[in-house]
Amino acid sequence: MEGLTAAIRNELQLMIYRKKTIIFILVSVILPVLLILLFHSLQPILGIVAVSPSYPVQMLEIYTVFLIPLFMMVEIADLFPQEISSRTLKLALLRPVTRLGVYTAKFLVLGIAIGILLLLLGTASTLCNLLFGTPGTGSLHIFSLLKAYAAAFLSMWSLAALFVFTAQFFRSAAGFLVFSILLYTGAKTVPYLINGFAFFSITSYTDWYSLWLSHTVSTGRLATTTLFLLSGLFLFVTLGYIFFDRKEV
Amino acid sequence: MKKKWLLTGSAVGISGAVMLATGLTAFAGTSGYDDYKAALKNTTQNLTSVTVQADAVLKDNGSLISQAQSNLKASRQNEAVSGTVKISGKTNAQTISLYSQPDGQVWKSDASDIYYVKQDKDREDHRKAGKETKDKAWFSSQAETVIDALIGNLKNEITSTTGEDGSKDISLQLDNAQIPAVVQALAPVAFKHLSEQSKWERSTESGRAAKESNPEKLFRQSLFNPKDIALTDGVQIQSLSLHAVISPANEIQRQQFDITFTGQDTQGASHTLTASLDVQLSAINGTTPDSVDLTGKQVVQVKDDHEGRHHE
Repeated sequence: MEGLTAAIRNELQLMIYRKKTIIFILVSVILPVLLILLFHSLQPILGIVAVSPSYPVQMLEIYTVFLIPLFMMVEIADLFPQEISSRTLKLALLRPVTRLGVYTAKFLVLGIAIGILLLLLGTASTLCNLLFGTPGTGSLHIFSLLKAYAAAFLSMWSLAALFVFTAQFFRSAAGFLVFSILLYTGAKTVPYLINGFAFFSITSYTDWYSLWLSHTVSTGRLATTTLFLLSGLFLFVTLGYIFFDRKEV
Repeated sequence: MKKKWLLTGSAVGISGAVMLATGLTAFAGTSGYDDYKAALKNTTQNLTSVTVQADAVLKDNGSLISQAQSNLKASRQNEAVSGTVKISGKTNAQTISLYSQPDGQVWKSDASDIYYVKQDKDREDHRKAGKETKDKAWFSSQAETVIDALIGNLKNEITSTTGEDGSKDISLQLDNAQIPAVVQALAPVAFKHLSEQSKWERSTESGRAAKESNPEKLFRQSLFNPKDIALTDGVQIQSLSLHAVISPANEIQRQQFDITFTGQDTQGASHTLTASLDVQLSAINGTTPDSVDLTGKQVVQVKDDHEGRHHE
């Protein structure tokens, strides 16, 4: 256990030292403001889009479909294939931590990073609404907001598990990045061609947080969907571990 | 070593099985969406004639802007429609009778005895389109998949309750935060389009004689003045609800739709616009549209000067 916490601390520090992470964190703070500016500049075409208390949830769709998947792909590329190609994975494995410990630490740190990013995006969007919001445009309970972001976190972490699994087949970061972007866009397109695929694909649950805001969705449906995402997370993490464990470094 | 394999193997097995099972439950579980889709297909495919009672209401901050009540009889076989539409706006109300036959449309306002006739020339072209039914079938099934994918997780928010007699009650209720950002972004565009159209209309109509009594135009004028609802700032869809009743024979009997917009006009006053539509279908496959005999009536031919704009 001590080894695990040490490994997590180690991975976290590594992540912070990477410039990409800092850039993504900055982007996630600025993005909500940038989006508002974008809406303002699109005013002649779009008219004015209202910034209301539900702005953080409306923008969550953009975050979970584009920003966070991109962030996790970049981070995973650094966590796995990059460490193998630059032969630094050995250093982590030489420490008195088991392979399982190293792997778990990497995955947990990824979860922490996604959580932090969501937290920043949520806070920045909420602040945006307080500063630029149109007054008198309804309200959204803070509890539903938290629920939506928590649900978004679960779907993002499961998606991260899928990409961690894919990353095990790559020895170069660039190759993995290209493949994972293709995989993601592909998996997002297939539901338009094949009926029923969406039910079995983690990638189609990026907007499932909206179910948690509903009054009508049955708890059974929420429970099965949560279970689906959790089991998907476990499945791909375990599959990823099997390959990570057999890897020669 | 063996123990490790057992552990990881069982973890993969169990989580895989759970994933498959939950995925299958979601796949096999019929939501209100599927019920509604089935009924809609059944209704449109088997429909030959129907009586439609539609009631549309537009309110601004709770006060009525415009209301339209219509009672229409339609038949698919000879593409005939007949019925009355009553439109009441803020200032005036009027009833228009209309008869649509394959060769043209006849309009008559209750206020006068003049029948306006509009010949349709391009109807012939529509008939020819029947050939490519095979392509159409493929296309419609593909379109269905695309629509399913677009609706995505919203599917789960459509609920269905079955009554004792086998009729179903379908409802969808979406709040501000649940409405997809794309749909939300379209709301201001729609209002912008409306306000531009009203400007256009005003500029063209000012040159003409004020006593233009073409019912089609009256129809438009009294329906609502787009200026009344020209929201310019902070336009948003506040809520959206859909309600449908499906008969035991799997036909849509009633369809209600409500949408609420909020926004501000140019003066900065905030408005809540509510539009609701209530459509009731009855006498399915047992309706005969009325026809009109124009002999000896005062008839005015109407030119198709709006044709181009309809296709916008």
